[in-house]
Amino acid sequence: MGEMKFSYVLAIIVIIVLAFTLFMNVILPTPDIDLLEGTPTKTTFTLEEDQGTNPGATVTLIEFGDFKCPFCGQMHPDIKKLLNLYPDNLNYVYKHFPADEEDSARASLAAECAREQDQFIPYINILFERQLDFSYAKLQTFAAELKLNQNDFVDCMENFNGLDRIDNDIKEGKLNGVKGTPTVFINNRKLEGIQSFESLKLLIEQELIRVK
Amino acid sequence: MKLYVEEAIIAFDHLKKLKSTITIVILDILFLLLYGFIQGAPEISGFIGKTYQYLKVFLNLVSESAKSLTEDAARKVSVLQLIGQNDAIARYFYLIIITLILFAIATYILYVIIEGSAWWHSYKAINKQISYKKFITQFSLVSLPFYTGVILLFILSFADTYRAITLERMSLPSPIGLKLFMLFIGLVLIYFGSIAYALIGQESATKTIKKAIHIGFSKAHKYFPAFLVVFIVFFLLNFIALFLGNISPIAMMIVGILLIFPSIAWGRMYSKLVLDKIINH
Repeated sequence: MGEMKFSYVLAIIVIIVLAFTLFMNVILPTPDIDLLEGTPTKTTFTLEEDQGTNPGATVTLIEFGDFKCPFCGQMHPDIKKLLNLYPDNLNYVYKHFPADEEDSARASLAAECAREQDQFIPYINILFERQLDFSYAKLQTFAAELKLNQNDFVDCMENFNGLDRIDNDIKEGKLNGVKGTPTVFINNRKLEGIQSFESLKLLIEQELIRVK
Repeated sequence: MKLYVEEAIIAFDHLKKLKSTITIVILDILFLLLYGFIQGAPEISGFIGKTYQYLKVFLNLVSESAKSLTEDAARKVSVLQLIGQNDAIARYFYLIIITLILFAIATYILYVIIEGSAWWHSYKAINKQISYKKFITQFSLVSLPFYTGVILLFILSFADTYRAITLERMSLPSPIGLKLFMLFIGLVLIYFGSIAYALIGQESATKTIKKAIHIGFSKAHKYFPAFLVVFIVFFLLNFIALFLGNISPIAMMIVGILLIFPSIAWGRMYSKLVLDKIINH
């Protein structure tokens, strides 16, 4: 083989090595994100069969929130957007984690009373939109806006009907390491603090790929 | 002293043969770029990027397995035993090995072809004529033991990374003893490698390696100062480039291309010229 021919052969070998590198990059498996980032937080949530906006959906987003918490209020529109974006694949579950304040607890109780009349999500939408005043009268006004039965609503509030559920949510949150609000779990992946729409969306997309 | 200065000037004069120098510089830059491509460009290519991902997963899996054991049992179980017991750990362990082997082979081929060509052009520039085919064949054989040494260093550095991550998780500092040892071995490999490359074409590959080791020891008092000169030149130029990098990255790039790469070409010619003089006198 002549010198020239030999150098051409070497050039071809270089190209083959580079093509092989690209090929192997495709062939070699990309590690699962859970494995790369470590095992996700082990969580033990009790979700009733009908709990959430879309029970049985591929991705469950559990939010531990407080209606008085400004960051929760700030993040809520993004959660609403996500629910519109993934109507079939996303189940949103709100769990109470109120601060040790009367207003927060009262708002949680009112939300539970709205749940009794199947208006939980619309009611919490209002609570997050108007966080300034959670007086008894104001909470009743919100209920009226949603055309809830006022007598039932008042009865529920006076009898503290939703208190057990709120207590359970707080216990469950503490068991799962919730320290503040908002804390979000996307299919058991824990996210602390306010999250941007993009980061929530990204995790939901990753979960959709992973679960498939 | 006279030998080192004279040959340094002669090597510098040879650099003025622009065609050869530019070819050598282009080959060195090309090797650097292609090595980067093989090592790993995010989302495009690379074995080492993948290997680090696998290493991370491997570490996560190992630490998860250890968590399920009592502290006493965890102390008694070695990583190799975990590999035998856990399919996922074994899978990622073998993936690390496979990607490292592929990386080593791909880099070796590129190194032999591109850096071998750069050395051949350096020989040509100082009027040492040797057939390209013969040179590359010998270069590939002579490189083998030194390259194996570099690969072993690479594996050691991986083990060091593994240890550093483990210690970091325990909030303990990573000792630098192994790093210094690796640096020393690296310099030893470059020292004997540079002698071996400067001897190519005279004898068979095996004899060339033996002769390089012999000269490296017996003529150390004559060759080591030349090696030191090249080392100091690189060190100073790198220092200048890094200093300029703080002012402007473009300035650093220009200095890199205009000074560091030609100085690599000069270093090759210089070591060959000095060694020829040492052998012939």
